[in-house]
Amino acid sequence: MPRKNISVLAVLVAVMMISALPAQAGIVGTEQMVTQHTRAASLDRIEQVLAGVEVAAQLEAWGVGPEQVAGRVATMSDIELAQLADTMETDPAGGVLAVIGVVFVVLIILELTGVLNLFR
Amino acid sequence: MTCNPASVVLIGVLLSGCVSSPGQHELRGAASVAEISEVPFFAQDDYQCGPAALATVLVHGGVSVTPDQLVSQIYVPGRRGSLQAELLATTRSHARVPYRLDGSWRSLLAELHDGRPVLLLQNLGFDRWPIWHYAVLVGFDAEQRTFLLRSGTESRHEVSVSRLLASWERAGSWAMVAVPASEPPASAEALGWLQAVAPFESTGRVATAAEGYTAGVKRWPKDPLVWTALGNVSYLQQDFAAAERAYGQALSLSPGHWPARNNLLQTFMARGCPGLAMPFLGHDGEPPADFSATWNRTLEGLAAMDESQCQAVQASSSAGRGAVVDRNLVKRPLKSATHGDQKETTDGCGGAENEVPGRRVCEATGKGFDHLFTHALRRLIAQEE
Repeated sequence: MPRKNISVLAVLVAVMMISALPAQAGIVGTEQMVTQHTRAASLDRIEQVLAGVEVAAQLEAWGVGPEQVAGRVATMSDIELAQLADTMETDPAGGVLAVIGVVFVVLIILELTGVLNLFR
Repeated sequence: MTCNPASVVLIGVLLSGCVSSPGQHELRGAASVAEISEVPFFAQDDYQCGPAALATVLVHGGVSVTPDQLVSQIYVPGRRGSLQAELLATTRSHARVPYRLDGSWRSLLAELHDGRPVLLLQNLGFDRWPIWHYAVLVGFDAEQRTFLLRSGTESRHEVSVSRLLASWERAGSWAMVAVPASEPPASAEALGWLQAVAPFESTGRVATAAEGYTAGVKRWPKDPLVWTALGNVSYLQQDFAAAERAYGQALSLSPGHWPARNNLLQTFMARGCPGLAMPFLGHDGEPPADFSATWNRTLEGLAAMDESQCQAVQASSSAGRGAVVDRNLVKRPLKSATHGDQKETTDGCGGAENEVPGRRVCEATGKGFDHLFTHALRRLIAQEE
């Protein structure tokens, strides 16, 4: 498993270094222009690549197939990856099945207890 | 809001009268219900409301995709859910612009009003014990005071207005619509549109970005940032004449605009013509701190070049050398410039629909819609509190 991880990451790094040509073109790119004053926009090239690797590693740790990780990371821009690397562990992941059965009952109980809570 | 039959019919008429391209955005105006009825429904499996919700808005927008196909693109098993960043990126993979709404309920209504289903994040739990869920807003029932959602396993989930708004606010008021690059949505503002489109440019899909910025300058013809963005894609496509025109337009709207000026100089350099840069090196003060390194690099690049390889740009665009300082060009009447910058969305139409050829004209009817619905919402919220 570690070996597989390393090879996936190595390929990713290579792809990302090569694929970022527009950012190197000399002009200030639009995304950089409209996300000014954020940490993500001020990162240098190496930091951006590392952010991408971080996102890839975290997705893989969360059970996304290694064969999918590279493709998924490639759909995001460097700035998006840098932002995601900063926040992904606490970002909400929407997913609950909204058949409000047990969950709803529990919520009602909580709401009631919340109403009765003297400390509130 | 007292929902007498007359006002109910009125809402229906207003909605249907305000809809562009008949057939595509057919709103059901019967009784008190306004619903974008042709929005498909995909029942979610397990924790996969992200793929189901995203497929709902994409398929409605004409993309051919299934929730199962999206699972491998946005589902994260270890989190039993999907991240917003991946929803946005995957929307782009399917050639649609994911526009994030501004977090006001007016924008939700403006999009519904325009026939656009809205993908939103809800927190069905509490701040301290969140239960995250994606659903798609497709309409409302004015009489029942409910919103209508495609949600989970329910094709027509009704939830009270106040409850939905509360669950949405607990989730950071996160919502998006998926639109073609040529159609900034009703509630869009210039900066938000650029932020939504720019990742296409950054990830090398320049043609799509160009389409988005071209639509942008039609909608916001007085915004220098949008013109600069259009210049950027022209530069990347090596259409330097078009790039110079767009940057020139930005500078005529905002003289000294640093990114536009920097990128214009880069365009001159790409043509091997550093001499053209002279008029733009004037005394406009110092660049902002986080921009000075970029600006200095450009100046150094200019100083290191010689003029010998300067070539006139292609005549096809009729701009020619010196296009940027051609005052006639710069003063060319901007199309319908009077409405372009309006941020007003209270009429449910963004105030700018008239700018977009082929789109509806709905200033008057939009206000009526908003008045009725605002009134209903205010009463509702007051009752709940």
